[in-house]
Amino acid sequence: MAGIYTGIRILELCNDMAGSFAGQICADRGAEVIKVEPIGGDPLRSVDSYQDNESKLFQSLNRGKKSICVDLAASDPSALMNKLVASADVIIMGLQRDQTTLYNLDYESVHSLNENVVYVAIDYFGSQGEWAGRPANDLVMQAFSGMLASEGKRRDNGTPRMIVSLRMAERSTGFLVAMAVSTGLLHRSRSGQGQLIETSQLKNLLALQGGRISDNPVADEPVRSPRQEQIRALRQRNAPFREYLGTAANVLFGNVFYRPYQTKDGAVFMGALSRPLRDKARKALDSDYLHRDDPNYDPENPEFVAYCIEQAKIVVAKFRHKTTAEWMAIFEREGVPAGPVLFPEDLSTTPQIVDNDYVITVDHETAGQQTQVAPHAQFGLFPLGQLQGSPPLGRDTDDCLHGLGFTAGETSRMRRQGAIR
Amino acid sequence: MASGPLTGIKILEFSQVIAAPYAGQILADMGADVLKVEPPEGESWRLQAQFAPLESKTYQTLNRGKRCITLRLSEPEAQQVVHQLLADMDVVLINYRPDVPARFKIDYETLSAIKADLIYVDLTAFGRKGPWAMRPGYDGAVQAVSGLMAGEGKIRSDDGSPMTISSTAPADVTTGMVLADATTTALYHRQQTGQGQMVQCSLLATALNLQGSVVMEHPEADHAFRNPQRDIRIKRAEEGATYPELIQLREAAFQATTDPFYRAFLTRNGALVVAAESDQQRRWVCDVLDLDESMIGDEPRLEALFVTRTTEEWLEKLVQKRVPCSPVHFPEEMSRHRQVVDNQWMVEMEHDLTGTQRQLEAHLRFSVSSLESPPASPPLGRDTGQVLGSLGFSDDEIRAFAEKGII
Repeated sequence: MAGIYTGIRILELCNDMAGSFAGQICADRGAEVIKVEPIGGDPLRSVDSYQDNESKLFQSLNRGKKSICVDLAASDPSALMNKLVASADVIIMGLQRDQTTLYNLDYESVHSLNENVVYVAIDYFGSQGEWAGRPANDLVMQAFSGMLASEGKRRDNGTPRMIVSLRMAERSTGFLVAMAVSTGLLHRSRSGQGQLIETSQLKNLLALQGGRISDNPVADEPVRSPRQEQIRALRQRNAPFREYLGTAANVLFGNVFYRPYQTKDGAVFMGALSRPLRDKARKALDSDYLHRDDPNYDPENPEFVAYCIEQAKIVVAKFRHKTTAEWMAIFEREGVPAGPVLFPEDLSTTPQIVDNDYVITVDHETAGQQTQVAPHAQFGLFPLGQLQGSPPLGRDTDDCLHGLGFTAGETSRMRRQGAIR
Repeated sequence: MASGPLTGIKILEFSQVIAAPYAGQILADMGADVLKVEPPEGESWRLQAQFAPLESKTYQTLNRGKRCITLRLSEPEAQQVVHQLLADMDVVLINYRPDVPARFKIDYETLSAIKADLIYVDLTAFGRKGPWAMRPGYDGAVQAVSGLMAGEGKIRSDDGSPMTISSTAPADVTTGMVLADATTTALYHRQQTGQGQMVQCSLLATALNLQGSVVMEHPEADHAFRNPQRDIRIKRAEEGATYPELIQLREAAFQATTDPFYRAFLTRNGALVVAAESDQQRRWVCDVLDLDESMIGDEPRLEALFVTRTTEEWLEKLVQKRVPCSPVHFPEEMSRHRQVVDNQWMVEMEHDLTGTQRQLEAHLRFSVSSLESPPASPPLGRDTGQVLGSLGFSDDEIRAFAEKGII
């Protein structure tokens, strides 16, 4: 497909979602993305697979790419990999650093073959420190970054439960790597220089928590600093996990203005974050409950807190008396930000999503037509064309090798030796 | 002044709250000169949870490294200032409801007529088309509409209402990255061809991309399980099932096969995560626990075992076997965590009004176009006089603007 990256060749080596997602974003923009897979295929091909080597998870992360299968550990893949590396504009490297060194795919080795390459490295824990190089995945990132604990989903005995609706670390790092590619290409276009660009999933998740991670002594004094002290003390005396819980101040007591509600037939979210919007919300709810807008607002006063909790109960009960559609009509009339709570399985037929082309039809070679989520940014000069599905395992091995100058004889010898598939 | 791959790039930012400000910050971190336009009373995120007048921590962590000018955009004179500023700009980054920019004469058609190769990166909540295009929307509303909220399935224990994902504002913060990526990609295209363009992003499109395969549909893959489960839920809803009941139904269907080796466990002194993904890694976990493989799946037994030792004791063994694992940390302890310190990810900066603070450094590290440590966020309107002066306005004219409430 023609796009901003037409003519750009990207080599993608990874066995997780972040690198694959980034590669797909680049393929959507017209790059030739060559995914180098192990002989057995990317492990994501076999997560809930419904055909050999084909799963929805893999297919939703790899559309529009080429697939070549190479055993990096075989005796003689280096001639092939050296040529591939030398031909690339960009390398998306999701393999761990010990592996890249082992296979001469680290930045220094690649740079010696391809001086102007833009090389984007994806680490989990960063390049330094005792956790650098340790294996990880999205759940590990959730736990390490603090998100798992602060999300507050728990089993009955207090054990944290994972965030399941999205893989925040891997998806957001995918966006980040895509930005690293475009920024690296921009810099190369302006200066002629390629370079190494380093990303870390952990740093990324920490950054996405913003103010909960940064230290600001003045702002932190009332809540965050005491909480930090408390955690330090609990850590020091090896306290059990439950003692850490329920200590965070409940600053949201009685707040009815930014939260979801059960309705008569489902659920709806209402969010009013400013005084004018909260006034509109009060009108929509036919309520004079002021909460934060009350001149006597005082979270330290137990009587006031009790009053707010009572008021919130009244609002909650009100929501149960109308359907989601009835509430949405009221919020629309009053101009209150709101949205019905929809299920993921219902989205592809939701008019708002259809009207904006947020779901698209993609053709897969062996599996047929499928509905996928459209690219996240729509470029005015490049209306979205027909996108191709993900490649069957190793579909493009022969073509790529031929393009690199290998003869049919050399290719079949490598295949016999098990170096390629 | 600045260094980095975006040195020399000038960005005019019309933004509030999280997503677009965050995008501007990411771009400023990479060396762009970002001029943020705020209303004279300050954007709403300055006013939310202020710890000093017109300063909040969330604002300060989303707006570092920028310059700030105040303008009353509804006034023609303010619009004139914007149009004069535009001559020098490469990018406009904007988040408003689709009907608002034209009212302020800062829509793409108006601005690209003034500057043909302008890159205009546009953020809306729900997209520019469709029945909800004109609806206001925040992260929470987008969580609801995009399926994230139901997919997460958090329910309040007291009244059965859904809860938002709250460890961060997922649609907002990731859209910040999306906008920054859209900007650098369009800049690359302009560098190659000389063409500017409008790029459209929305919180909803981002939220759908975060879910990917969950939203994806494929008849062959879905007919055995996903579609029948969906139909059962729809039927139960029609019969009058409540939201918590529907969530319970969905969770039982889609998460019944929860992996006992991909979850958190309590330990003697905290909690840890074991995240084994392959059979090999599961066997290693059994080795560490000194368990027979037939015990895989006996979660109560696993829970009873893990709680007998400290997190550190278990981690030492699991790390040695190269099983993906982690202690469960709290966000508040991360800024001083050894892994963060060893990677030198926290940088110190001085705010004009509120003093020293420590934030996470820029997302990317570049080997060639390396970045300088970013300056803190600007106080409200700090740069108004300087910017207007550079456009040729005299001190008297600037004073008159201020008296009329335009700046």
